[in-house]
Amino acid sequence: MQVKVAITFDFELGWGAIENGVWRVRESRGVYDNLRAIIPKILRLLTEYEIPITWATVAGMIDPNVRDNLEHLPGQIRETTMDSLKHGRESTFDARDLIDLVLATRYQKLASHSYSHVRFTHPGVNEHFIKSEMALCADVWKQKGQDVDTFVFPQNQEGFYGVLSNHGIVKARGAEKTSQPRSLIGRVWDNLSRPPPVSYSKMKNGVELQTGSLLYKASPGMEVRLPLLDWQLSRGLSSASATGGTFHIYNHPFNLSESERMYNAYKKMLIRLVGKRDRGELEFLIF
Amino acid sequence: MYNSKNEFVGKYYRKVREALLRMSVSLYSNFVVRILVQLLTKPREPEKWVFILGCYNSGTTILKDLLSAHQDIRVLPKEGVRLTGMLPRPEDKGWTRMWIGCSEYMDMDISDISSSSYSKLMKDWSPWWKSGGTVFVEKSISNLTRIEWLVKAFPDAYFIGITRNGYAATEGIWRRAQPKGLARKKYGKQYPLELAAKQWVDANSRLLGSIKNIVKYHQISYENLIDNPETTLNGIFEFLDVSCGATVSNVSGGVKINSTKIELFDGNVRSIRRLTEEQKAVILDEIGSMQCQLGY
Repeated sequence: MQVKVAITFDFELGWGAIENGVWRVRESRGVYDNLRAIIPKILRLLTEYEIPITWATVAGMIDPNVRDNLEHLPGQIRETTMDSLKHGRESTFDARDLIDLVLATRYQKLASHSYSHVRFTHPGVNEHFIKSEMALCADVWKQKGQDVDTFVFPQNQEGFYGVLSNHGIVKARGAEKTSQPRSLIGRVWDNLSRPPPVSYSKMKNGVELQTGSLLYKASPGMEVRLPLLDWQLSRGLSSASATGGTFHIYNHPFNLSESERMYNAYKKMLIRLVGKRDRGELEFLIF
Repeated sequence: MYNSKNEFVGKYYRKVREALLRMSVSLYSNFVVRILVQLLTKPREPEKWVFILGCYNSGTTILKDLLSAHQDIRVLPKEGVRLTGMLPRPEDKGWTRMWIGCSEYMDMDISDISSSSYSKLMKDWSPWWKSGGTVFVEKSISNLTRIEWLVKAFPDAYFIGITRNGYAATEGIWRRAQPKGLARKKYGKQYPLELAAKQWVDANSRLLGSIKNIVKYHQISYENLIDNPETTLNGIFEFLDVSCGATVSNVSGGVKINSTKIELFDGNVRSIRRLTEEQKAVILDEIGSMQCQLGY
């Protein structure tokens, strides 16, 4: 059976690492600066091979007035965010230069990854906060002339479907649907014995929740993991093919600028999928 | 001996689990095993890093256990220094529970910190951090020797300092620590009481001396934690911004966090009672000034 594959990028730069401060580590390693060279390369590749990718974008990252629009953030995270924007480089938190490249590329779709990337389980996050986030996002998408109806939960932490639905979201991506054991031995065994899960779809308060399948990422220094990721991908594709489900691959664009090996592996993976598509074994779905 | 069959099975199960854990930690100290485990587990990053700082026998373990009852908080099953090849521990040199014996070995040069220091530690610890939480707590006593290093490697981390009465802490260190290797050759089977007291003083000096360099710091005392766990823990949860959803209440003989009841008892009385008047005098000579500085 032809296997269906959806690919998303969680496009967040340093916004996804404000709470734990890891953006500083990545910034010092030049990850966000290097991304400026990687994005055009990846976009050329996507155009050449006609690969559709959904770019779940943090709206604050492309809002010129972002510093004036953070009053709604709850508790300590407001201060932490303001402080990070103050001390971080422009390339760490501002993606206005990159988003225009993405939007100008064929087959690419814009989705929302919230305004500030504050996780939905953060203390102080309530319906009022989500409404503010969605209203700010709507302003940004309007300025960009985009109609956005797809959402990717920050940190994959789901919730507030009703509010999302009221703000025009019809589809959202959450975490992988697994019942992974909590113990170390259990998790190691689980990774060896089972393929990554096929995307699972369910309606929740007017929003179609689709779960992810595989986070295609090997941290710097752990590139030795890449063959394992490819093995998991193969098993996941077989499983999706057997069940007729969709296999949903996701990661962050900055993962590709963390190491050359990671970029090369991702490129190779895309070309492998394209080969399958060209043989009629695979179909790219737009999430 | 056992009140019920369940009690016997429970105790047996805990012992087997502890033995398995010891074995796993020991295996993990092997570089190849560590790489294999990291290869086969998904990389994860917490939203918040928390380091507990305190001297030996100052209540750091009970604090870690109490924090782990919070639904958002995850802890390592053993001290983080045992699960990484990056951080030195006094036990490597035979100085069990006595890092002042090998301070030169323990000192970590902050100029050696690179952007990969954080990544390496995260990779080593991440497999042991049980899934489901957003806050990761690490408690290694020897972290007191590298506060500056940790602050630089984890710039947004939260630090919780805990202090305890010097007599009780010193007695605990002296009674429980068994020197090995070179330290054993020098001191025999037990460290001198003065050295245990010096360890307490040095640990607290480092703690107090480092506070000014830490942006997110919260200090508690063992005594407040035992006397009023509800207030102390709520203070910590507020500091960590995880107070939502956790119900903490004082109950007879301990504290209840959500549905978990944890027994607490004041170990100070028993510890101090074990000391003779001469031993107290020896300890006082060493700890007097620091004891006053900490308000004991």
